[in-house]
Amino acid sequence: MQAKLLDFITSLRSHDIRISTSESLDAMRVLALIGYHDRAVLKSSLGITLAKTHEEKIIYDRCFELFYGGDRLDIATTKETQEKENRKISSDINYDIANDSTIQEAINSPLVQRLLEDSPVKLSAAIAQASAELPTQELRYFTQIGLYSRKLLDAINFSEIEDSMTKLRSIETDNADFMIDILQNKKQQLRVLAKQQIEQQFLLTANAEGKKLRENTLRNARLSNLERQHFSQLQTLIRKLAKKLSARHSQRLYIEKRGKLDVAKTLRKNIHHDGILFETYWKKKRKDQPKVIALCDVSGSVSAYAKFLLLFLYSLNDVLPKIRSFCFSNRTGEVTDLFTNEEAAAAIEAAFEQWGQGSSDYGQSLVDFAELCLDDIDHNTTLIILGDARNNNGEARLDILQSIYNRAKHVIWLNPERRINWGSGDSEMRRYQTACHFATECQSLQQLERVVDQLLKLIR
Amino acid sequence: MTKDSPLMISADNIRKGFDALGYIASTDIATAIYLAYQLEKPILIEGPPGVGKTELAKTAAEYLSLPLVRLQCYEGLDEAKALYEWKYGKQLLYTQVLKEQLGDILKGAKGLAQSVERLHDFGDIFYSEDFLEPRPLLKALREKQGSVLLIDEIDKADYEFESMLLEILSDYQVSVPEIGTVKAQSKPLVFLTSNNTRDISDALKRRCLHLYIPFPSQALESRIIESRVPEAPLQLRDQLVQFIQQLRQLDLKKSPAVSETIDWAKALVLLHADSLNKTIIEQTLNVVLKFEEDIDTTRNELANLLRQLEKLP
Repeated sequence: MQAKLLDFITSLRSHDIRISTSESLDAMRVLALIGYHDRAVLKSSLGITLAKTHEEKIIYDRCFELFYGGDRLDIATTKETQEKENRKISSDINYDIANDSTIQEAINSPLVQRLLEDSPVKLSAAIAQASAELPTQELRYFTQIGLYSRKLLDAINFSEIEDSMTKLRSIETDNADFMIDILQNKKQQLRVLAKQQIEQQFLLTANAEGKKLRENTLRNARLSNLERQHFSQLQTLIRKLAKKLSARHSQRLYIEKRGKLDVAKTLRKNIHHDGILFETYWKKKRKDQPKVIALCDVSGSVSAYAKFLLLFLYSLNDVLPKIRSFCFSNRTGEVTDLFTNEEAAAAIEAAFEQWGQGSSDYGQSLVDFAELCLDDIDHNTTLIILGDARNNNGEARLDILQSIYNRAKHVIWLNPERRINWGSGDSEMRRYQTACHFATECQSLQQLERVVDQLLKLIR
Repeated sequence: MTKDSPLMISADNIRKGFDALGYIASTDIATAIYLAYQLEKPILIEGPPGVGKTELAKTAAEYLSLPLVRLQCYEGLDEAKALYEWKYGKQLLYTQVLKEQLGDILKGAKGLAQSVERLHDFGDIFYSEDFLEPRPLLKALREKQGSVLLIDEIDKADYEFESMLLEILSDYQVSVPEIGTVKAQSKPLVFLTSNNTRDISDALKRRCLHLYIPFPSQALESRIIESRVPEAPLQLRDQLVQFIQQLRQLDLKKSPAVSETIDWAKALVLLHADSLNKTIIEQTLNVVLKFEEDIDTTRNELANLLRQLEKLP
């Protein structure tokens, strides 16, 4: 009983529901209290104990249905009633068969006996048991389903049916033919049951495993190599990443503001010094939230990255509510409103359409940018620039970046190119780098996560 | 509050008891209360506003005939307001009054050491129970017969406060430095509610059972109205509930909650309406919807919504 529950918890964990050891212990106590007899109560009790957000509840419901598969038993019971009807029709034949010793000998193997006598409910229980002994944890891709259902059938000695049928064929009587038909039916049912069992296993364990594998690959892949089809998956991954970052960094910080006495608190705390103000307490004020401005290159040369960078900027809105976003290729424009009001995909599409037409001109873009918001940049501002610094041999206007550098708290440059290529050809990265507090390459999501994590520590 | 009190023998019992008190509980809710009681764990209740989160705690207190101790959370809530405070005024007054007594006590003492020793015998009188002002959390722990503790809108409080709650929620005890650890004589049944304005920390969630109360289904809502506004005629009740359920499908700034359905039913009964029609809906829409934009949206959709209603048998 406990082992089954632990399996269930493992599969919930693999579906991204975070369950701690203390929660598993609670689940054990709940199980001891509730028992297995009422499925609806069991479902809601375990749900209350294990799933701790609304989203988790939805996942939990699906997993519960799969794991304590209620529907499969339903199928089995309807089949059972059908069987009973069949048996009624052929009761007289049954009598003949029961007295025919050659046939009895042919169907004398344990599996066939069980098939003919037992109810399908018990049979599916036997299958479930056999599948528990298979190494189904290794099940990872849906292509393996066929192989594993074969293995499952082997485990319950499926070949015995085949043997019995060959023996029956050699007898060549009507009754034997009739038995062959029945066995043929049973064989088919057994196959279906086995396949269902493996498919459920697959949905429970493998799908999550496979997802993890895919996500890991995506995280490490170079952003430029990612195809359009991964875009939607990436979106959830990036959102997850942004959420993780926000959870790590959103704890509000307080600093003590010297100079203003918290009179009430000081009086209270000093009563045991006979009212003499011995220990002082100062009023606390919440720290100003940092201002973050992001400037993203969306021109042709970086278009492959730009989508992901924009997506990332978009998700960053959750973490840093005061972020302002700008896009440029040869002119610069603000997209903050777009990002706060529109859905991710629509906002990115629109940003591209509006600002991503030309070839990059960093000089002009910096001029535009300075016009738009140089006045807003102060000692509390962090500027993040996303781009490859390939300027098509235009004027670099390093002076503008330098004036920003002098005003801002941090200027951070994330470049999708490898460090080796910086400064080669028309890349101005080496020069721009001199006017940045921090410049790094940023090729994969993993690097991006690391960079942003550092960044958030930096700008606090 | 004993574990095998007949009131708490099963989830089904609880559901029936709550029914009798006018709170129509779903299986999930009844099970959650049952488990919380048996496992002695707090329940964290989430869900849209107005689905009866606070009401649940009140009903539980009534059902168990225990006092309800309520702590409303807000930004800046600290332990002096939630847990305990010393009665400073009383302490000051007493020290002034007792000043002369002190002279008597110290009379005849030779040297500093002896005086201090005598003062020691005098003890920590000023930091004893008599000068302790219990706030809701401590009050709930000190109830001899047990109590129902409602920590309302925990998401409004700061992170620091949440961390402070952890000791109380897992061990049902608090440490008061001057006195020592106060342990609950009888563990209270704790309800925490959250409107999800921010995420609750994992540490807190781990210590709680988690109950999500969604908007009720049509059948359940109809039963709620039946129990809360029994004077509403059957036809009105059915139409009203269906109309509200449809409203929740619309894209509104604030969907009508159960409490608003109840208010509306009461209003309609006052107006002697026995079925819904266009004029009466237009007149009373502001009971259900709290934003001008929402009312406008609904007005535009009203013809459609009414057509749906007419399909009722």
